Amino acid sequence: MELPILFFLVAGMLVYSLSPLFGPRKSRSDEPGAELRRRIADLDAEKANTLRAIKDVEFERATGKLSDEDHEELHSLYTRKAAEILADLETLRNEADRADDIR
Amino acid sequence: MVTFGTLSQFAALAFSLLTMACLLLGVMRDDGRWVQAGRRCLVSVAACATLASIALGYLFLSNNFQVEYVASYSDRALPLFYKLTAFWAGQKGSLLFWAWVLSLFSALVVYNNRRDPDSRLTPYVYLVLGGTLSFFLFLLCVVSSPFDLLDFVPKDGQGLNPMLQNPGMVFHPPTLFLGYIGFTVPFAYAIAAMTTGTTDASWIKKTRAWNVLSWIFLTVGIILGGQWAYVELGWGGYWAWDPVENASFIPWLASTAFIHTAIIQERRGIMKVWNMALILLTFLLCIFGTYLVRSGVLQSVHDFGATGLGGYFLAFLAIATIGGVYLLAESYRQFKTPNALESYLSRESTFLFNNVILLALAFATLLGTVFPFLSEAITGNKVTVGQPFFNQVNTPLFLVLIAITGVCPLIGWRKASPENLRKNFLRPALFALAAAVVLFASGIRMSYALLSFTLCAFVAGTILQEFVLAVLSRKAVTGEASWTAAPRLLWRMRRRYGGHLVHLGLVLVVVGITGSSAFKLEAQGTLSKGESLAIGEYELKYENFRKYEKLNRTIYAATLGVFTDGARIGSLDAERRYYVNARQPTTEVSLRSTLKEDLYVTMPGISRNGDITLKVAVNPLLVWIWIGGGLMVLGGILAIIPKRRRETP
Repeated sequence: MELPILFFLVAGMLVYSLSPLFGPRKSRSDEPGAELRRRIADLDAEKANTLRAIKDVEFERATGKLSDEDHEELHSLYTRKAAEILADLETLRNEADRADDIR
Repeated sequence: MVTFGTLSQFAALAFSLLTMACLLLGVMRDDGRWVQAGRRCLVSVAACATLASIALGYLFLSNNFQVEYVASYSDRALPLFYKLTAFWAGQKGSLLFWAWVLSLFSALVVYNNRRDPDSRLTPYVYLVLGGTLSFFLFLLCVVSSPFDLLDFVPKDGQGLNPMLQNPGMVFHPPTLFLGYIGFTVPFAYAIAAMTTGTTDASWIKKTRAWNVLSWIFLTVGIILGGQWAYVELGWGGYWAWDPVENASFIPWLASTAFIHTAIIQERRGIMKVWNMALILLTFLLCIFGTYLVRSGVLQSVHDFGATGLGGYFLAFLAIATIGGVYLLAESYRQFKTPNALESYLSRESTFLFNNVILLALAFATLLGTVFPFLSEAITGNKVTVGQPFFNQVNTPLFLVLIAITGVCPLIGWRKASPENLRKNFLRPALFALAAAVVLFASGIRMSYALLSFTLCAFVAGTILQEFVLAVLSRKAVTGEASWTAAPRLLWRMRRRYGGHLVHLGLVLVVVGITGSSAFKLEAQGTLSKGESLAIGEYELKYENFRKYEKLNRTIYAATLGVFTDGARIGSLDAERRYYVNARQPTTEVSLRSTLKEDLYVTMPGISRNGDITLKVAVNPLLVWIWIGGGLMVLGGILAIIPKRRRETP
């Protein structure tokens, strides 16, 4: 009894595993909007990182690890970077919206 | 069920090979259908490995002693709990456990990436996971199957080694394995990042939880192993620099180094090559540790003896090393970051220095571990280096590491001004100085112990200052009361304070190690009923002797009254046990543990006239090792609790 059960289970897994091969061909690189989505995700991650860096700079000044001068320098550096990322994100999102509309 | 288990293993191997074939075709033909099929095959590997594991568990529960593995590690009298855990007590079962857990982890990686738009990395990640799984499943199917049968059916099994019938030992191997296995995931991501030229920190972010979780499991495994050695082996210690102990400690050191510099890559986008090298090293050290345990090349109380698997593990290790180093060399230019460190007075620099010390510790421990093996290869004589080597080399390095643990949080990112440094160092340094004076005045003269305790006070002072300053700053901004601000800060910045909690735990571990090594007392004596043995402030009086049966063992127990200053403060039962089917006596440790010290008693001998031989030790502050270890684990858990994600518009 065990072996027929195993046979059916493995057969089921095989069908589940290989069924995508019977669908239409899907190019990984040509997936619609894949590259754009990836770039947006990258920028999103960079934005989160930069915002965290700004928070860190504030925290480190508050706990006495950064002088006012260093704080000023780092804060403006990260703020500039954050603004650039937000602008790039905006452009990419508009591009993605346009691509969606066309589709 | 034997055929069911065997065929499930073969099906798992077939699916893992299919995973690799599908993914390779998918990548080469740039066809998403094959990639999706490969991903699903990886999930099927997990399903088949689960079926094989269920089959082995069933064979243990049904006392099927025709299965050689079951007959070797179980018997009819074995309690149910130990019957289930006998699954990983031997080499073959633990290999299946390894493959099973790795397959489940792989399925989890597939699940976690179900909505990932970035399809560049994942096929290669699955490919590495599939390749590693294929290796372990190949060993199970072809070389070392737990489903092998004996030519006859024994009436009963040989039983589980009595020393393994201990809760610590039940959980120690699987937690270590979970740690070792977990590092396969970041390794797979690193290989994928190098193959695809993904130079950002996305692979580090995706694998952060895997890194820390694997580190937590390794930590738990090491602590449980130490605890087991302490309460079960009866020699009075918890760590003997045994090759198998070292095999888990070395990757722990490398992974600790990686966890630190991964933070730098996330924050600053630098040290990419270094991080790649560290995660490769961690994974390779995990495999090398497994090779040491399963090859029989080194003598250890913990290893599986010569299993015939050593050559296979060496071959796998060679392929992974050559492949990893080749990819690293190929992608070096892409990953290299110019002008990495802006100042030597920055947190990045201290992290790097901490890495150097951690790797020096790993290298020294590795060298001491493989020295017998190297000396035999070069001179023909096996020369073993013992505890003195490890203690002499590693103790100073550890003290430097503790000092850096204190210095690191006091320095800001990028660069620190001397004025800020002076201000931040002052209070913890004064606190440490005060601790040193108090300790010296209380009679502590051993230089290493004094230095160690002082450095611990410095680190504790640093952590306390960090937290208090942060709470004050939060109070100033939010107007909250201290008791509200403190827990909220701890929760909101759990990644940062989780790390501090780990450091605090490390401090407690070091306090425990220092106290129990520098101030340990030992005594031995043979007593007749009514006689006493004195050690430190304790006196142990032999009061009673009993013999009784319990489960699968006969127990000989001597009751000892514990006295201090003539007053009875309790009693201890020193035991010797005789396990029926294992036919071997064991000595059980009897322990009276307080925050101040452990009173540790074993009874190595019972004479015919009823006299008993006792070995007694007083281990000061030892319990802090377990408390500190627990705190390290809690800190690690706190650091990986995810923050609630805000949806991006």
